[in-house]
Amino acid sequence: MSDLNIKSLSLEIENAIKGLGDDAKLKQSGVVTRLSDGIVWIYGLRDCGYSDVISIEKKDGSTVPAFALNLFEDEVGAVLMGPETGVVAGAKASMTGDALEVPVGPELVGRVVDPLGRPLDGKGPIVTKQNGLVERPAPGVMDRKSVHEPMATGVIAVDTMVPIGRGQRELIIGDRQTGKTAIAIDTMINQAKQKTGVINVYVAIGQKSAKVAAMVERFKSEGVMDQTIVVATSPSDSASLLYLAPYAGTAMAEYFRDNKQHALIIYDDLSKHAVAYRQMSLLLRRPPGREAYPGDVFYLHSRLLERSAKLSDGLGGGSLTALPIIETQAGDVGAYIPTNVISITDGQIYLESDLFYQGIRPAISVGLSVSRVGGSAQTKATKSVAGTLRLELAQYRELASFAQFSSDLDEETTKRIARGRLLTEVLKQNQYSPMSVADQVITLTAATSGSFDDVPSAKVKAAVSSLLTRVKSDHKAIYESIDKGTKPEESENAKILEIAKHVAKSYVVVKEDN
Amino acid sequence: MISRTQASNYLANSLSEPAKRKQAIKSIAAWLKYNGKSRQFSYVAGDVAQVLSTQGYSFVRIISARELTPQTKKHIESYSRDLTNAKTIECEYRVDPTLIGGVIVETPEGMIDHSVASQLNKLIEGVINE
Ligand SMILES: Nc1ncnc2c1ncn2[C@@H]1O[C@H](COP(=O)(O)OP(=O)(O)O)[C@@H](O)[C@H]1O
Ligand SMILES: [Mg+2]
Repeated sequence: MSDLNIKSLSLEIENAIKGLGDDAKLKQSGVVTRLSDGIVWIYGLRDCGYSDVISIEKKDGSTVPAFALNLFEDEVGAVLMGPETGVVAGAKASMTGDALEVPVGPELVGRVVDPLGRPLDGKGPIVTKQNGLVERPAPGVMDRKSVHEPMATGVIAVDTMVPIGRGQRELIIGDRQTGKTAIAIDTMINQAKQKTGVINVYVAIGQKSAKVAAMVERFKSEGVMDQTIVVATSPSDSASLLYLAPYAGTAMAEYFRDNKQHALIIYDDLSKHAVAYRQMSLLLRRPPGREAYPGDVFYLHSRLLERSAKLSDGLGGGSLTALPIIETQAGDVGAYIPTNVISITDGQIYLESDLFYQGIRPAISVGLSVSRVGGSAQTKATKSVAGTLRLELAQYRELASFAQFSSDLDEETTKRIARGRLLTEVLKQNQYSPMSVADQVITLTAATSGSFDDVPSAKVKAAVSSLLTRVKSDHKAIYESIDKGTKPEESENAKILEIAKHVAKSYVVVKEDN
Repeated sequence: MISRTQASNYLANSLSEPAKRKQAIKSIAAWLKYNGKSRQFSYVAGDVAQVLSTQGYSFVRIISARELTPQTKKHIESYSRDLTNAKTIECEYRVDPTLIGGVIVETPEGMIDHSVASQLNKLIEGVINE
């Protein structure tokens, strides 16, 4: 009696249910009263629950699944998950007794699937041992632990100024073409480059198939597809499939969270998701509210993002980190969906088109980007250099706009502007080139100590790159120790600065006297 | 605005007395007609059956591929009584050759499909999904 084994208990119950047989079970059934645009209305399913799966009989006797979204007193509104052809008014509908589930497990890794877990990559069927509920309650307060391990993005501006921890929800927000997807993808790639073992789930919501295909090719060439699941929906898919995509992707990611592993999920993007939900809701005749979204649109994203968490040690200590993406119109973060998601997440990385077109890429707005929980997840090494970076940059951007109007600036201001300019240069980063912790720390150690103050802007990146190569080859031990997150000692810093000075010399343009 | 379920409740509770019953049917018919819900009359009947079943009176529809023998009918009736736990049951028989064989028992609480046609469909779906 001492060991009450829950797993065997659930098995026993399951077997007992099987033993009962199907015979004496009444199956609730109903009739389709009308249908339009992938929505069916059903009479007679009184016990139907939210998101229960209903099986609808077609004219040829085959069935198509639907899931219930509208529970009215007289009828149930459900969304078809397959083609409408062959479904007619008068068709029989019966409850399957299941809530919506998708296949989950390690078998999905490396695959491209649709929101129901069906393969889209032509690599044959996917057989998993387990299914996961698409709609599942989020872990409760006692099941969680505060965020404390870093989720390294490899993007120096993010890791230093808006650090993300495992289990955090950090929103990436900005207009179209500002590099939102790029940051998410770089974070995924970094998981392979730094060999973190984090499993990536990328959820494409209504994205062109060609774009997703190109992305998958990129994942393969970067060597990250082996730890990635792509859940893809295209603009031609039904609104119901788009609506399901993030929940299904989350179910797939939760498998790893619940099995002591770490997972990262990208929702690209939730603006399109909200639009799909609005479309479905209007077809379901729900009363429209602000911006024609239904009243429960807040709950749409809050229940989704609550499932990302750092689990307590008792539950294995796994984590699910979420990077939802929101696309704004003309930088308007005050619109309905952006404000909702901002309030649900633990911070946001705000990307600005102005910066992007000035060539400051990634185009992160220092003033408007925050991370409310990630600070405690930063390594000591990163913390040692990140300290005043945010402040310095924010001040610089303010001063720089003043400086345009006045010619005689005091020495202090001139110096600050020069340093700000340098830091801005240092924080620029190309796509697909994530930086390790050591790369970031060494770069900033040199930049904030003034070693590169005389290097012309255009040469800064080259100088940094040769500095990193030199430290890596001449002081391997220091490099590796910093990369593990250890704060560099004074003597180690001195060695780095020595090399930095040396490197800088070859890039400084000799001033001519006349 | 009253819902169909509320209207059906009213009708179900008026059925015991003939005079009340006539009046109730009249008003339900008018209500359906003026709300543009004329085609929902069969749903009202279904809703009423549902209400009555909670009061121990079950209406059971038995659909078979062929006309059933009195012996079989008796068996199915007692089976249906066990199934619904109703004090009184009222059976309606229908023949539908497309079932190929077997029976379907429909009660207000749900249905049991023992038809050959649906078993075949299940088999076919199983093969397709393999
Ligand atoms: N750090 C970067 N450096 C250079 N080009 C970038 C960078 N980030 C993004 N881009 C480019 O900018 C374009 C838009 O980026 P994307 O991530 O697709 O934007 P969004 O998802 O915000 O619409 C793409 O062509 C991408 O290659
Ligand atoms: Mg994008």
